[in-house]
Amino acid sequence: MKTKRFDFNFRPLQINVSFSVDGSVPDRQTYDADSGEYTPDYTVTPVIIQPNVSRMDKDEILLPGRINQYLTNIRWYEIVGGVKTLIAADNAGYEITNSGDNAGRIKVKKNAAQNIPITLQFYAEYIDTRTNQLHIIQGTNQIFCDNSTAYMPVLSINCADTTIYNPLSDADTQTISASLKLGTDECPTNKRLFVWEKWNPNDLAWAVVGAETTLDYDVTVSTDGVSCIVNRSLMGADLYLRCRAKYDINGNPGSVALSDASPCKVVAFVRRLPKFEFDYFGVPTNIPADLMAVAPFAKIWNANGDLPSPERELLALWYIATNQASGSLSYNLVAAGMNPTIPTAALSQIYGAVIGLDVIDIGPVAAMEDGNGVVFEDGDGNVLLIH
Amino acid sequence: MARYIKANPKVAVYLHLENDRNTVKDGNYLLWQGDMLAFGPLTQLTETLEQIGGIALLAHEAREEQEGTVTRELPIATDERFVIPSESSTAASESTTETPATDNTESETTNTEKEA
Repeated sequence: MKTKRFDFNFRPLQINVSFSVDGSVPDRQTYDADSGEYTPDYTVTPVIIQPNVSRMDKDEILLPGRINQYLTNIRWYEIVGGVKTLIAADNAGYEITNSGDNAGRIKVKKNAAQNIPITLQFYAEYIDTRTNQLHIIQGTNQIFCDNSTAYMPVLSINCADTTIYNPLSDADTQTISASLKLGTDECPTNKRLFVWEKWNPNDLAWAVVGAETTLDYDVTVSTDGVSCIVNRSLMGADLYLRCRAKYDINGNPGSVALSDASPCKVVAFVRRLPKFEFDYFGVPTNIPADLMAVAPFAKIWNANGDLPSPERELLALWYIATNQASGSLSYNLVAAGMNPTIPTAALSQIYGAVIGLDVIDIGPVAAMEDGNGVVFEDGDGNVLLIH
Repeated sequence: MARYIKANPKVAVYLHLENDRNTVKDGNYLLWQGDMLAFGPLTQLTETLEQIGGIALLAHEAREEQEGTVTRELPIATDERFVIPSESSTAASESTTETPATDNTESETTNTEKEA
């Protein structure tokens, strides 16, 4: 007997999937950072995405039309920022219908971050009852959130770009406060974070204030981070301070990574002694013959009058030279200070002597270090500062 | 400015939104302004609200309702299809502080049933 096998030749089932927004709530929302409001707010009125799966049987065995009720293994994935997560049944942000005529429907009860859309990926399986062939149905739908904020966050700090610090007359400390404005209103405190950084001239890089506990003695950031106190008398010759702001609409600014696009302000503090004059007084040019020493006093002044405590930043050096009939004089350093006692031993009986005064800047305060760049500390771990 | 509509369950059922929209503490629903298009254009929102006995809320007010910190009483609908006589009489007779507590229990039970 000669046999041959015969099979039904089913033509492939045609499966279509499309997505529609069910109801009046749109799948595109806006966020206004000024009011902190989403429109519409999906936590109040959720958006509903309905996948519509239909089949078409060219053999006309199966009825054409919607087959949502036959879907199995329905899954939705959330993709945010390239990270794909399966939406579990206990996910409070979503509600998925797994059976019935509307099987596959997803209710989105969370808001998207602005300009970071939530991509919802749909997955379901359908078995062709004619051939038991498994069809996998997939598709994506996006939830957009546009930024409708009228104003972007603007950082301002109450300090000039460059502050000239005159150690002879200016206050030692200066408090700088930062402010982040959204339009005309101050940004809510839970949505922003200020980061204060100091320029490190050795590393040629910005470092967060407080990271180097030993050497950040000149800047103190307040506990809330809004302001910082710069002790200009301790800063050295100059100090460059940068303030940057982290801003997050969802109230989690700590997770924001700072970048060149972050709101930023840089200010400089420069120590500079203004021009001053000096002279010495208190000694007559003709002194009695038996006087062993003279005690002149120095006077240092500028356009505003006598300097109140010049020895803080300036050092008076006294020289004396035996006077000669001709030729250059040879000055010897004999004393230092504002009111020294200068011996008259150098006075020539015939030509006398010349007393000179020089005033020098002793320079800014800095940490004391050894030849290897290691700073000195006292027993309590406090760094030693010297001029 | 977008508006959220607080309406009674009869309105939600009429719009087939009882499974799609959130309920608040007193058992009423928070609808989106677009849902009102079934009753007429948004330019006639005031008339629509009178008809269905609903109130329009701003976003922060809607959130207050959602969180249960504030519960606003609904007016009686002029359209008899949406009148809830028992609830309105209860609200009139009971004090405002007790009403939400009672309704809260009811709404929670309803939610549990839905989820189940």
